[in-house]
Amino acid sequence: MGIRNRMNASVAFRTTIVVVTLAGLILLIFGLWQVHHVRKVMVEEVHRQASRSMDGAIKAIDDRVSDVETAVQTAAAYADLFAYDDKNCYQLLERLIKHNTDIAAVTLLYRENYFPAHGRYYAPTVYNDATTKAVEHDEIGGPDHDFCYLETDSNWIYTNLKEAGYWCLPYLDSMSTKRPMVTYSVPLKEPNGSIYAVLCADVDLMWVKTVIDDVKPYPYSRVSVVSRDEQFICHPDSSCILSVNAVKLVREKGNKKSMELIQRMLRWEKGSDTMTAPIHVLTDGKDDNRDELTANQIVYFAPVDRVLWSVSFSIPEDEILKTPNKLQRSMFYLLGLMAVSLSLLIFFVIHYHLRPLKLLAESTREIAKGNFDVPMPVIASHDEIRHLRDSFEEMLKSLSRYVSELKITTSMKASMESELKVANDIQMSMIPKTFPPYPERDDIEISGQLTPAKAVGGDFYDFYIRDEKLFFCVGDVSGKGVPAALVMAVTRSLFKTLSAREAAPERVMMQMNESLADQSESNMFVTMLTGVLDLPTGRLRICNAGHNVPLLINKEVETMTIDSNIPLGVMSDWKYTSQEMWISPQTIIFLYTDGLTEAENSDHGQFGDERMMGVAEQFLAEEDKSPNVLLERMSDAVSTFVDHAEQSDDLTMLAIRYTKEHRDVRLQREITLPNDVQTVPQLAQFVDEVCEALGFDMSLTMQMNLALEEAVVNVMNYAYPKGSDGDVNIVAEANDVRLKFTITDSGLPFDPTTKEEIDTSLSLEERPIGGLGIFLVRELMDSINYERINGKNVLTLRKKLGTIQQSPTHAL
Amino acid sequence: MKTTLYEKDGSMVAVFEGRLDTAAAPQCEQDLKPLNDCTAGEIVLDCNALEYISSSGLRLFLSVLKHAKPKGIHVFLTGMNADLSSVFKMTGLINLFELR
Repeated sequence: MGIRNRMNASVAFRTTIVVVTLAGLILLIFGLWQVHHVRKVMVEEVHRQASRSMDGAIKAIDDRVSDVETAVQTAAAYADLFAYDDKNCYQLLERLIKHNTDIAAVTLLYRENYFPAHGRYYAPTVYNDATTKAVEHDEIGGPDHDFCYLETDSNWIYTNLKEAGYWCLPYLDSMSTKRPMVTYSVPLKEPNGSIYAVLCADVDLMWVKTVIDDVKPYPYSRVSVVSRDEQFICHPDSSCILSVNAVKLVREKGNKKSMELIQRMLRWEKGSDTMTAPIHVLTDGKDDNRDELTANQIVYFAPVDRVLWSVSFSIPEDEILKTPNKLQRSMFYLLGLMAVSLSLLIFFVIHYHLRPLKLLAESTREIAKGNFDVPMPVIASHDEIRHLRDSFEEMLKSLSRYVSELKITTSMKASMESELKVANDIQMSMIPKTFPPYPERDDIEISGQLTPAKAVGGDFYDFYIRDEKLFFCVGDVSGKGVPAALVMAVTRSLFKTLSAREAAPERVMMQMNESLADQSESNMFVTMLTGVLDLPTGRLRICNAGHNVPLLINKEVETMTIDSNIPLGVMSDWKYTSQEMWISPQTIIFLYTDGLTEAENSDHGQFGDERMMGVAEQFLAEEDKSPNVLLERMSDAVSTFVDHAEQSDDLTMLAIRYTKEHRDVRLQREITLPNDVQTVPQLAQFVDEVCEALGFDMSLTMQMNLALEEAVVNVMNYAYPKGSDGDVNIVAEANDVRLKFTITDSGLPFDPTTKEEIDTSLSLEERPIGGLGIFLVRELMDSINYERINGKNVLTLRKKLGTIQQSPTHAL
Repeated sequence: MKTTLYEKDGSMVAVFEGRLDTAAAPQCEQDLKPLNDCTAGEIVLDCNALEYISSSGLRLFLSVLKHAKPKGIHVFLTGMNADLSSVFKMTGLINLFELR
């Protein structure tokens, strides 16, 4: 796992990284500031210490030197008591040397020839013998010791006859110890003011180093004292003492800065400076320590005015900063250690505290799998995690509640959908779906289509042929779903039942309206078109109950001219009116519901009358003008228009083409009988002749006889009231396809086809005596058709010639 | 149309000859009246010579049966040709009569 992934995966890890980085940064800044501060304090402290040490050193040297001066001058003050005598003078010298321990030797230099007895030079001296520790007397003048009078700096006063005390330049002891020495000389004067001798005190300068070493600020400080003749009185390298010229040494081995230092020192300034290679680290030899030469040194310097010496310390800067540097190093170690321990600590603390979160996450994963019974982790603390857990539990509860509600809703929806399915089933089972419905007929072609919407509207269409009449209807029940489907079922049943006994559409509609208006508690209404097309003649009677007006499509497209009336079920007692027209062969009657014209696309635009008319106009150009082609074109146009928009209403179309062809009449016979049943044998004679002409066999002839007798007797009995006279005209016509009997009378309007059918399965007791006549006609003929034309009852019986050979009676 | 009644072995036999159509039915009805007075035995309607029957004739047959049945008299049909039989079948009357 990459570090980035780990960072993203673990809050503990991420937080630790952030916290430790920030804390480390802050601590580092503080630490560096601290170190800087400590360093500054240290440097200041060193300065203070060094200044103090320097002051101490200067004072100590000055004190010692001053003591010597005082002692010598005091002795000079009372010298006249002893000096005039060549023996007593030793007392003076002894007193002086005993009085001051720094004085290693005291000499009295007399002027040349002062004691003639002692020769030209007389110089009594006393000194502390290093081995015996006793004061020894000596005389360094005289013929054997003339050197004292050489013009050396030590007896410079003598030669220059100085008026006051004088510190000579330091020098090396002429004895084997080769110790650095310096001599303080004071002139002794006679009362007249002339100098007769010089009192010289030799001071051993070994203490200088000791004194300075005592007060130097640090053990590792180096000490150097330079005299006014640029010689070292004191130097870490003892070989340099009084043998190397300081300025020359610096010029050879030092640098600009150290040269500057020595110059300042020799100008008797007081101060400090930092540099590499100051005099303290320079040596006479060649084995100089490289490290020391390149290391920065802080040098403090100050003069001893009395003797014109410059005292200086050097302190290696490294040494001073050793502590702060050590501190800094420790700080870094500490910081590292802290970072590591802090990281571990924070990581484990956060990890520990976030453990419930992890448990919560595991529970959540279980819940996500759909397991709502998973227990939530128990969290004892009362912190945000606990809140989260509690909120989560709440969420879980509402989630499971929601899910169970959803289940109920879903099952409700499913039952609703099955209800819709039921509605759809009701709707679809009610309508004829087999097309073409009458393949054996050559006078009618029908095509219908019902596309239910998802919510199922109450559209329906129906048609059937009874007695050579095509009964058809198209309707739309208001509302949707099961109620609409049920009303539709009722409406269709009413249509079927009522039209079985009634061939006038306006009367069918009126009766339907009464039934529906009575039953319509739910305020549902039905728009409907009912038409009756008399197939032999092409006479159409049509009644509209508030429905879309159908189109007539033949050579051109026209809208049918019919009364609108009101929808069924709105108001009882409405007088429906119907229109009558003649349909010429090859005309298509196109019926539809508003599902067609009001089909909506996704922009809520409607298909509309104009588009529908347009499609119908285009259809005129089709070669095959059959109803199913029209419906196909219309359906395609609607589909293209609505695209994928869901339709809210059913779409229903019904196209009926009247295709009756005129055929040549092969045979035509006619007979007119009075309304007297005793003329039946004449009728039989007539029928026999017709059947014989057509070549019918005995059985078929008998069937034709029976059918005609029943039909004609019926007319004779019912069309004319008892006792009134009238004629019944019977015309027999036959073409290649069928035989047709047309029975015409001018009696009262009487439609025998509306008689109820008898039930042939009843028992003897239940069986009525009558009613067999029309029943037999229906059974024997292919169709029976009644029309009231020009004040006459016209009953037409047809028998298809093609079916004659398969007459059902032969099977018996 | 001619209708003849005679008694044979305690049974009444009605013999129909020719066409029993609507025109002939009233006379036939008159001829069959004696059958309604039968109290016992059985009635045989002999159709061997019947050429044709319309609904008026069927009504007469049914009427005979309706009178005879309550008295426990069996009514038999005999000698029907296929065409007549088919008419009886069509109307369901064939189930009500006994055939011999």
